[in-house]
Amino acid sequence: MAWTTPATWVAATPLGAAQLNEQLRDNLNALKTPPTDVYNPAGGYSTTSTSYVDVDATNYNLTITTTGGDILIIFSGSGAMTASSNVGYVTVALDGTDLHTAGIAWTSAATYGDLSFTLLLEGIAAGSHSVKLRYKVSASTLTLLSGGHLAIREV
Amino acid sequence: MDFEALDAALRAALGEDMVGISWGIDHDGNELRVHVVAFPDTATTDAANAVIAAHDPVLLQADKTSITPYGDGAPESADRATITVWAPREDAAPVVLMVEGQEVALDTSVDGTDTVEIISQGSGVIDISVKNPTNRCSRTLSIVAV
Repeated sequence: MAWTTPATWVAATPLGAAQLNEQLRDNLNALKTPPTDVYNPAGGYSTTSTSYVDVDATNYNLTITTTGGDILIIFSGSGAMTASSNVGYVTVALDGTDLHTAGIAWTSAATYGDLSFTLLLEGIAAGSHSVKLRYKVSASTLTLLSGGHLAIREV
Repeated sequence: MDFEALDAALRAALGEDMVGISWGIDHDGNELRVHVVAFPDTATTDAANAVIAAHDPVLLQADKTSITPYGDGAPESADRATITVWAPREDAAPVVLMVEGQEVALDTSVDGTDTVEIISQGSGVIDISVKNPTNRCSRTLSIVAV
């Protein structure tokens, strides 16, 4: 249900069913179910790429159509490097452009670490927006276990 | 924030105590988390805070990744890539780009941004990075002239 910018009411403004449905019912429904997309992978992923690549170009590729404002991005998963002296990086691309401003950098070969980030992107224009999970390594291999979770929501 | 540059600077300061960085949200917005191998002592916390306080990010963005060499034509009408540089800190240090080994000084004092245009007479790859990138910028942009 699309969001409609709330009207400014003035005295003696006619109020009918259409206005109430739009301003109250539809906007409350829009707030209850904001644009959201989620992916929960069944399998794991790994990379040896030293430049950012898609984790899964089809499935870790979420899209929402927003009315303009903020987008909340949540990723959680477990991962490890095959060599503890190397670093694995996980970030997201918004509309095809990697966000170099935020992500995960991780070194842990002994055990799988809980990797997560929660990122609020502010002031994003209205329209369709895609968010892809991306990763790379400084060297060796980064493995992401199954059971990860990527979600995006307009807030 | 350039999270890879900050991560590298933190690793240099914390050594093997450092595991990684990630992001959360607190009541003021996005929040950086530094992960270490054990509960940090005061020295580790102080060292991490010093690196974070000194982080002076420079973000580079190119509007295209390839350009057409102008050859014997006029440079004024050459195909060009525009590099946008953003140094978001209000007290950001001056930004100097290294473009094929040549220093290019920028002025980011107004709204933190400046741009530089890249043209090329011949074919090749033009690498663009930030001079003194430690704790500032992890990226090297490459523009292909072909």
